[in-house]
Amino acid sequence: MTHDINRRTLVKAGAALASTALAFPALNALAQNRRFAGKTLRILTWSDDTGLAVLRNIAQTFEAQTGAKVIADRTGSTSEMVAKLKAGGNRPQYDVITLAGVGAVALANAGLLEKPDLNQLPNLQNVDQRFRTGADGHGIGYLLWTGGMLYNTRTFKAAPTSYEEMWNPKYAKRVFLPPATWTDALDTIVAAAMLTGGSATNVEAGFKKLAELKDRVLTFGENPTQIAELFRSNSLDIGAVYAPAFFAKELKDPNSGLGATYNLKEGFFADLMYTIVPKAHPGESSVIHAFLNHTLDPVVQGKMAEDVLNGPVNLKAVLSPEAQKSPFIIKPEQLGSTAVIHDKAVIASVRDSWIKRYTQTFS
Amino acid sequence: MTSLHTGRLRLALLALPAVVLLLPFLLAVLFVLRFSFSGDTQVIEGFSLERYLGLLDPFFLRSVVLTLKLAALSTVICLVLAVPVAMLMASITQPIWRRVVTSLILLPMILNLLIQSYGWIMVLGPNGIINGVLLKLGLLDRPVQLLFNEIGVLVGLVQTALPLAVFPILGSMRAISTQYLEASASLGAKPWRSFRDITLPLLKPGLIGAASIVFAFNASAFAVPLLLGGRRVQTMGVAIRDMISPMFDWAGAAAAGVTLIAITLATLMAATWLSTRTTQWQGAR
Repeated sequence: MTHDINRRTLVKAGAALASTALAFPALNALAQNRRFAGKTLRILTWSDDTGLAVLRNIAQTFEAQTGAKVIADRTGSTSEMVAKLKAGGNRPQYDVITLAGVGAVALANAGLLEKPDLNQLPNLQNVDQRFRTGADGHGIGYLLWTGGMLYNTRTFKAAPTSYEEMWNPKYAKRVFLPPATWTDALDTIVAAAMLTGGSATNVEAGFKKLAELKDRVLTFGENPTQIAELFRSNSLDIGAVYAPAFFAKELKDPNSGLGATYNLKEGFFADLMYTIVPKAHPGESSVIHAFLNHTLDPVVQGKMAEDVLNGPVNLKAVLSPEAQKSPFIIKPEQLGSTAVIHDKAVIASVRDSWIKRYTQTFS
Repeated sequence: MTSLHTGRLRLALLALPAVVLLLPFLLAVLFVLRFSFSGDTQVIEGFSLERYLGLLDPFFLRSVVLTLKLAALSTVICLVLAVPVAMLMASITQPIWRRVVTSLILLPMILNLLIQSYGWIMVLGPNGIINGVLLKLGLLDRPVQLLFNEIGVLVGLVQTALPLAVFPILGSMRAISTQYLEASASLGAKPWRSFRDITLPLLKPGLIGAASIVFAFNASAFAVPLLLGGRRVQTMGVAIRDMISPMFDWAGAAAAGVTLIAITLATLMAATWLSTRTTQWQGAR
């Protein structure tokens, strides 16, 4: 059989090739979209607004982009996450967990975590060096939990510029502090120390300074919604160190009476949240690494920051013009000068004793 | 097989599903008991009394005293409030009004605690109704702190435990025949005398039952002290919760939990013994 190559055949072949070339990006995208089709990823995240934002901005977009199915479980605290993982033993239920650094360190020390392969996380290159990994390489940083000062917009015409303002006698009984069991309490100890010329490694004078507030504190903000209500009902004037992230809705509402600032002489506090991978995880490693990389995507990072007022770790996070102007979202360029970032090893060594002393100082 | 034996067997079979449901709970309690003696804080390993010795810390002992104080005070207040409420409910004969009053009594148990705490902010808060009225009347120069301290916690404990006091007392109240009160009145006794010498002694089983339930409930309370105590009222429930998060001291929390159970049971047994002895002594007189 012979094939006659004539002009019509050539035109047909050329048209076919052209169609394929034109369709290739779409086909390629479709292939990429379905690259993990049929695969399942199990994650554990927070039950609060941050967890909801993780589901919306990270899990759902990952599903849309890769075809993988993400099954999410949610829980209220890092200790519950640690407990769930420990209860799983050699058969953990989760592939990825998002949690606070203290939990990551505890699980890493217990030998329950796998070290992610950083070569499979190309987005990590755009992440600030300080926020790439933690817990001895077992945790991948994915957002910054930032703490500053909250104030009553009816009392303060301009935002306070120093933590020292909390010690102003005119705000007695209208001050709140974070509860002893929160990392923010450790930040508050350091802030008080800084006011007396101390630091995270020299806090004695800070505890003495905090003791001056003993009879001036109205409450310790165990429940952020309750704190918002106290500001709304004009029962509180000021409080720190506390995360504006809890009040994303209230800060947009002028009737809430609530304002927040990071622009403080002593600086603001930043604590890295991690994604971790349990050993013997049920899902596939390639899907897990793709998910971890996705959490660091510039668009995803920007969406998370706008949604829950956390600080992005990717230096190229894509923020809308409105978000760029927002004083409640920490921009990467702010992290150098005024961010107080704890040495995790130092904090881990003093944590228990500081919590006890803080509780005893105010009891 | 005698009819008595058959009856008992039937009862045992009827109770079997409940026992099966309670079994995991009992196993969990045994698990917690074992954990409390663990040598490690986060897994069950070895045997050690270290967690119990750690509870001798003055700070924890203060939590114990505070817990018992608030549980006892709230029990007394609940009983004082529950008796007239139970008397009122016992006197209502129309079913519709009985249902209305029962629903009102049960409301604190149905309503979410967080919502209740917002209600308390509006009533007891620095800018709440009480402080507002007192300031307007000139009785205060500055607001009194009624919330985020022991007062606030006590109010919350009473509110949430009151239904638990009312219904046992109501049960005893309905068992009292009106003939006793009629006889007492016909002999010239004033209402207060009848109440003191007839009604109250006959209410004793209900009072003891109510006191036991309320005391045990409030001794282990955790949500109310956390929400209304402003973190300044460190009861045992809150202390146990703090041991778990963020300390991850599960063994310590287990030891504290077992201690709380033991203290509560001992207090209840002591109260029951004292009550029985008092009755015997009064009877001998």
